[in-house]
Amino acid sequence: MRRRKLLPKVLVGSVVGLVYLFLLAPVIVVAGASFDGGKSVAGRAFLQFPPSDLTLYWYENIQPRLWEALGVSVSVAAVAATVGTVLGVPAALGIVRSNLPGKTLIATLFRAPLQIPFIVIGIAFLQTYYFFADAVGFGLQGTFAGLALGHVFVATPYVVGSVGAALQRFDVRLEEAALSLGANRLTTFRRVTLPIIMPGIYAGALFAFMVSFGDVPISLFLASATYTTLPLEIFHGMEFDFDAAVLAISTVVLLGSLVVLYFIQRIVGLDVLLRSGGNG
Amino acid sequence: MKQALKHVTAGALAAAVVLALGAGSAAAAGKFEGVTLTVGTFGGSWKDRLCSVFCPKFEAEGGKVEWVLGNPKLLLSKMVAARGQEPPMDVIEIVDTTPGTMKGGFVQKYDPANVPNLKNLSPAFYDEYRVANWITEEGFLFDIEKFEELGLPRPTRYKDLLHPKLSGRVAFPDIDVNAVYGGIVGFAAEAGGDEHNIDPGLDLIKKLNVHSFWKSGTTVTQLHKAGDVYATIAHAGWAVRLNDGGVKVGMVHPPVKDKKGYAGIGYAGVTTGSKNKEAAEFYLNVLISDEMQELLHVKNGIVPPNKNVQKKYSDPAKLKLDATGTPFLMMKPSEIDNLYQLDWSAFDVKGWTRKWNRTVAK
Repeated sequence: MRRRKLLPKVLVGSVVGLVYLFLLAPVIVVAGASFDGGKSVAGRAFLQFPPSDLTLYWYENIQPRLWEALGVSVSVAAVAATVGTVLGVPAALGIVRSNLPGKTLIATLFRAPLQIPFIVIGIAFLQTYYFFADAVGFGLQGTFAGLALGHVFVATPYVVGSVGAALQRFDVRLEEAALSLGANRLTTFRRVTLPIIMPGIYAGALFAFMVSFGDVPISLFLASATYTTLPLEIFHGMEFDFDAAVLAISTVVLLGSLVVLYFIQRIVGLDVLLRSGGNG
Repeated sequence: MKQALKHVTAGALAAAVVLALGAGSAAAAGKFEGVTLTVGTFGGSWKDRLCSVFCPKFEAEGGKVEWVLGNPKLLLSKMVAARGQEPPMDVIEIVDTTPGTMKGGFVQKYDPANVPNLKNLSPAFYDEYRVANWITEEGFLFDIEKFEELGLPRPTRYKDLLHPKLSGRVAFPDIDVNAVYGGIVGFAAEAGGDEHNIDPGLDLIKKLNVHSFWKSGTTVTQLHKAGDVYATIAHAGWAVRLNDGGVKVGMVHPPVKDKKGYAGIGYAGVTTGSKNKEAAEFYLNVLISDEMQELLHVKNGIVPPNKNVQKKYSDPAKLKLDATGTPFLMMKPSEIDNLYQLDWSAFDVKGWTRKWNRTVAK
C-alpha cells in the first residue's frame, strides 16, 4: 500500500527534477566553467566543465569593454522598460476600457512588433535614421537614443499585453464603489485601479527589461562602438576567439539578476509576478 | 627717447611671443585636425589591437577614430541600408563571402601614393580598390592521435578524408562561413573542377558523410576536444589554438591545382562617398605596416600579407610545430604567394548556396 503511494511521488519528483536540470544545466555549466583554471587559461581555446582546477583568473581578466557593454545594456534595458511602461499602461487602458472604433485593429498594431523578426526591425530603424539624417541633417544612427528607441519598440508590447491581461480580469465594480463613495476619477485610478493592475505593470516592465537586455539582432544594426550592448560585445568577441572572460561576466550578470530578484521579493514580493499571470 | 625704446622693445617682445605661440599651435595642428575617421571592422580583440597601433598615430595628427563593428556581411548590410546617403563608415572590411561590397560599388579607388607600405605587399595581395590586411591558410586540421589509432597515414589531400574510417567524423564549415569556399574549391580541384565548376567538389563533400557543419571556430575546438570529430575543414589558426589547448592536431595544406594551400583573404577598402579619403588611406597604410602586421600575426594568429613580417616569422626557430614536428603555417613569402586565390569573377554566392543546399545540405 505504501509502495503504491510512494511510486507516483517518486515519478513526479523525478520529472520535476529533470525539468529543473534542463532549465538550470546551461547556467550551471557557464558558472562552473568560469572558474576553470586548466587548459582554458593556457590555450584560451575551450570551455571546460567541470572545471579542472579552480581559479578567479577570468574574473580578474574581464576586459573593460565587457564592463562598459554591461553598463550600456543595463541602461538601454532600463530606458526600454521605463519608456515601454509609460507608453504601454495608457495604451492598455485605452484598448481594454475605451469604446474606440477599430479597437481590435489598434490592439493588433500594438502586438505587431513581436511578429516582425527583430533583425528586420533593426534594419528598418537604421534605414529610417539614415532617411531622417538625409532629410533634416541629424540622424539617430549610432547614438544611445537611437539604440534605446529600437528597444522601446519591441519592449512596449510586453507591457501592453501584461497590463491588458490584468485589466481584463479587473472587477470594474470596485471602481464604481470608489466613485459612488465620492472619490474622483484620478483618486479612483490611483487608489483602486493602479494597485490592482500593479502586478501586470511589474511583470510587463520585467519582460520588457529582459527582452531588451538579451537582444542581439536589433542592436547589431543600431549599436555603435561607443554604445555596444553586452550580448553584442560577446557576439563580436566570439567571432575571433573564445575568451572565457565572457563566462565570468555572464556569471556576474546571473548573480546580479539573483540580487535584483531578492530585492524584488523583499520589496514587492515575487508573487506579484505570478498573480499577474506572468504573461503578455 | 628711452621711453620710446622701451615701448618698441616691449612691442617687439610681445610680437615675438605671439608669433612663437602661433607657430607652436600650427605645429601642433596635425594633418588630420578635426577629422573623425569611421572604421568598419571586426569587434572584440581584433578592434582593440587595431586601435592600440592606429589610434595613437591618428590622434597625434589631430584626428579621432570611431568604429563600426561587425563581420563584413553586417558591414555590407549597413552600407546597403545607407545607400544614397553618406556612407556609415570610411573604411570597410571585405572578404570572399561579401563580393557585394565590390560588385555593389561600395568601395572607391585609393591613391597608392598615400599608402607607401604597399611596397611590402606582394602584388597578389592588393589591387587599386583594396589592400589585404590578413590571410588565413585554409585547409584541414586532423587529430594526430586518432589517425594513429585508426592506422591512417598523415593526410595530404582532401580526398584522404573520404576514407571509410573517417565517415561521419569530419566537420565542414557551413555555407555562410568564409572558410567553406576553400573546402569547396579544394575538393572541386581534386575532382577535376575548380571555382568555375564546383559540382564535382560538392559530390565529394556529400560522400564525406559530414558529422556537422560548423558556424563558429569555437565549435571546432569543442568538437575536437570532445573527440566527436577527427578532422575539420578550417584555417591553420584553429589548429594552432587547438594545439595550444592540448589537443594534438596537425594541419594539412592540400595542393589546389598548381598551388599549395588556399588563401582566405581579408581586405580593407575606402568606401565610396567617404569624405575622409586621405585619412582612410592613412589607415590603410598603418594597417599593412610592419608594426600592425606583426601584432596581428602574434596576437590574433593571422598570416601577414606584409613580406617583412613573413620573412621574420618564417625563421624555422619561430615556427610553431605540431606533435610530429611539422609547422602549422607556411610562412615563407614564396609559400604565401603560392597559395591558391579564388577567381572572384567566377564567384556567385547565391548560385553556390543553391547548389550546396541541393547537394550537400540535403
